[in-house]
Amino acid sequence: MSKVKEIISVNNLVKKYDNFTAVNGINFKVGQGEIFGLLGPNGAGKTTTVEILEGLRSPTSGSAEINGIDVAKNTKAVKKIIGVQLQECSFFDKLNLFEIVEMFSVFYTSKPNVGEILEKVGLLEKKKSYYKTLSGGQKQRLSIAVALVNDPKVLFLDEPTTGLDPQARRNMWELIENIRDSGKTIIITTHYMEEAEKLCDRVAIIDSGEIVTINSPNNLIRELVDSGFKVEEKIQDATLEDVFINLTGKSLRES
Amino acid sequence: MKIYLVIAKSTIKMYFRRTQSLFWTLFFPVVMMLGIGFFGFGQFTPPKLGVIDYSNSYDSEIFINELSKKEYVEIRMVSETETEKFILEGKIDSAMRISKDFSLESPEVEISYENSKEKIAKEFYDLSDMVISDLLNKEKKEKSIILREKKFENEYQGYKGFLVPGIVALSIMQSGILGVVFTLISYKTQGVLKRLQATPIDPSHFLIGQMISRLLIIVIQTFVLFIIGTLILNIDIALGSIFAWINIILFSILGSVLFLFIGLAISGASPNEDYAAPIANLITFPMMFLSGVFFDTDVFPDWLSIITNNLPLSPLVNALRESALYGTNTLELLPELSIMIVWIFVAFIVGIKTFKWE
Repeated sequence: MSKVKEIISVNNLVKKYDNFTAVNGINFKVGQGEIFGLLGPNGAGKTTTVEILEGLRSPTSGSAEINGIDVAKNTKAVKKIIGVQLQECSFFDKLNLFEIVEMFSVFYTSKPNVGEILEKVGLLEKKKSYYKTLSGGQKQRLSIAVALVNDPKVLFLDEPTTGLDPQARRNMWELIENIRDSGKTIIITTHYMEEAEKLCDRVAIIDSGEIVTINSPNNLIRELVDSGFKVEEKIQDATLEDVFINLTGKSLRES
Repeated sequence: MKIYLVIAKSTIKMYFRRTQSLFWTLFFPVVMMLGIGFFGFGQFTPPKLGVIDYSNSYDSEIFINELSKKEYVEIRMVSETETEKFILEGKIDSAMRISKDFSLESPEVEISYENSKEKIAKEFYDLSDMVISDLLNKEKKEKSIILREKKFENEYQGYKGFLVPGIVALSIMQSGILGVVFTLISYKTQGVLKRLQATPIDPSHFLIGQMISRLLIIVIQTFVLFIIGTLILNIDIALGSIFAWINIILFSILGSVLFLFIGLAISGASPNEDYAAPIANLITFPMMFLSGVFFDTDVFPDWLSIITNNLPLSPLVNALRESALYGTNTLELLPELSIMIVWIFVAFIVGIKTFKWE
């Protein structure tokens, strides 16, 4: 981490709503090219943290910088260099996928090859379809395609696999790894632990608006084991999900 | 600038792909226009006779009084200057001038009517004759009334000419308010607006682009409706006066802006569809009947007219009707123009204050 260039730094970030503190003094740094996971139960403050970084909410106190730019002070400049996939969002219902990606690229004054972007997320053959007709996994992939129009330095993915079937989830993991390999930094929130274990270089575990711990998944597991923790049942060599994938195949189940 | 164009272009594209929007902005008003235009409400209301009393005598007063007692006609006292206008607008079906030397013994009247109303004029004539006979207790052997007829030169548009501008104004209101409210609310609840906020564009660019495209659609809609009215209902847009078309363009743009802003204010004030639909109906529905779309508001008592004449839709209905029927000079429509500008200002302020992106 010390060798890599630091691209995100979050310092004492606090977000309060009336009587409720959603984020309570969070600190972390992310290096360039990392996949950084924010883990935590629902309502822990993951999405609030991410939305502050995306410039959608302003922090009550503390600060955050992306590529050296202060998120709260220079929101527009930050928005230009990040790609965003929101947890709950939708796109224009009567525009086809090609037109949606094209329209968003105008918002970023960038001129990407729309066909190439759709191909990257595996939706090229769907370019004439409407958003409504897509499966859950395809919708998430379109969301990622839109997030890539400005060739962002940092990509934010808020629960990108929630609600997807195991095939679509594995397909999404592959896509995320490919994007990382193209040199982008990725911030991902999830409450699926095997997802974090598979994808993230480091994770921060958040609970009640505070970071409980930050480390790589392997280190966290080792720490736990070193402290004398034992899984009660004998660890099996495969999981039920492996059985499921083995029986139903890896290919995507969507038209 | 390019952003506005792209958003406006996409919005228009989406509009034409959405069949229900075409239904509400074109099909529905056309059906309403043709339906009411052909069959009208005319047969449900008694024929209206305008009376101009040049005699002002005791006899003429008795005669008018007796005539008013008949339930199947509606008598309205009019002045000479109003007569032609009222006949053209269909406010009265024909006019009866009671001559200066009128007396019950020598009852001389003149009935003016337009070709298509000959039958009704004949009924008025028979009725007047009957009233005179009754007053004199005469046997009905011969006609007692002395009649002179005067046919009207001008082409009569009747209720159709009155109705079409009203429906056009109504459609401008509906497209302006409903179009904006339902798209913006659905974008808001589905998170489309939130996604736009995550891009570097100023969200107001998106709203402005939306407004521009809606405005274009409404102006096109206005022209299509007037042209259909001209071709199918044979109405005559102010006998080809250039003012008519200038005013129609001007007021359809002003009307669009006004009702788009009202739509913006409604979608700002309502968190979801459950609130937006009733609020939109609560605002549009009364205006449909109080702003003179289908009926003349002359029938309202004065205190009510003061309110109804100042509703946002009323000046638009008046201005379009004046322009389409008479090709009125734009300067004469300044009162309508100023009411609309005041409302545009009010709706804009409320819209800006209440609009939330989430």
